Amino acid sequence: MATTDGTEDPTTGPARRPDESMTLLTALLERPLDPSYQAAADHRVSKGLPPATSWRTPTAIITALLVGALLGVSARTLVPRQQLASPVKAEIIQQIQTRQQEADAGEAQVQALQSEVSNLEQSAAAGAGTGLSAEQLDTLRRVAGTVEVSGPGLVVTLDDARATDGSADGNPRTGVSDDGRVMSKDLQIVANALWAAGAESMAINGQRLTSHTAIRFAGEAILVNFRPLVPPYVVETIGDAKALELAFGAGTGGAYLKTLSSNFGIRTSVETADHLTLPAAAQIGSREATPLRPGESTPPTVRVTPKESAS
Amino acid sequence: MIPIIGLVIGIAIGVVLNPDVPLWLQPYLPIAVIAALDAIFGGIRATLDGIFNDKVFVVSFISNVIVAAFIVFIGDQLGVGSQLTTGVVVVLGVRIFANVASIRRHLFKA
Repeated sequence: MATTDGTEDPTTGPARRPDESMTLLTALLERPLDPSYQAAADHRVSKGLPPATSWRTPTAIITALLVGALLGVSARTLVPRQQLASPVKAEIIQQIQTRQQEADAGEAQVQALQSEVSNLEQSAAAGAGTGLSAEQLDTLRRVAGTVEVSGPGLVVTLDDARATDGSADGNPRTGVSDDGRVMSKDLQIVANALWAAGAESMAINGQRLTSHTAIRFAGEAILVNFRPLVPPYVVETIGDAKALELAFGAGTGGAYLKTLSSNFGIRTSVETADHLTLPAAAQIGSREATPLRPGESTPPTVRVTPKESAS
Repeated sequence: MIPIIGLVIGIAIGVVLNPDVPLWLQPYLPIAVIAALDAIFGGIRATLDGIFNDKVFVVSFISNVIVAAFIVFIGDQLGVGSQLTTGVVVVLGVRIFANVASIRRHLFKA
């Protein structure tokens, strides 16, 4: 390490150094000491003074104080800044958890009330003689989707083609075509084909299909019961598993799935299941329609049409 | 010895007083710390070389801090603040290491 002042006589200077073009790096690495120290020392020597001054001058001490204060202030200012963020974060997490608990409590309340309603319906049906037996009521509820149902059935899974999976750089404009994306129309066709094949109840990704259900697009997301779904889309149906599989495979649904997978690379699968449980629909009810009371007029005709429009 | 006591007292003052650094000044604090460290090690090295000068020490400290902060400020205005911060840290860091290496040679002859 050169500790000389590094000022070379330009006339008798040494031979050209190989790294002459890298003066910035050379200066940085070879003369790390501020050259003004050397200059000041030379100046003092020329005046007959010793080259170095003492550290004990007021200037040096005040500067040392200043440097120390700077270090101290920085330590205090820069460290707590990260600690400050954590209580805020904790508070936000706390809020999220509180709201989630509130939502859970609300959901539990809805379920309790729903079961209370169905109990009342049951007793009303038994007592008032509306012409509906408890069994009929059960059938109605099952078909309307207001109760959980379980049984054997068929599971149809659709997933976006592999190429559209998180388009590498996450940029939606990288020209990857959207052909491989499952559309709401695909789900509508599959759902209708399953109803036609004899499905008794159906749910997509845990959303029960009822007479109020719409399968539609909002932007790029598929909404069922106004809830956005994420792929893969799992259509669970309850019914006679073997018959469903046969009827679905031979009908329009099977052909449509084949077209989807061969033309667009959409991943599909059809599997039978011995035991499926479909959740109850979250919200169902009529706001405007009022049923006719038995005394007022003829009792409402009970018509069970399993083939609901799924679109 | 006295300057070291001064340094320690300064640190104590800074920690105890804990003044509120305005938010616009906070991005420059890390740079100022690096510049201050550079000035300190430069001063120690100069002492060991026998050419320490208090005026140069003060001026190098203040100018280091101001120039480093100014470069970062300019960088912020140009939208390359973080890159220039890195540049300042690299340059001062290399200097600190070289100075420390020299101090080490003085003290331990190794």
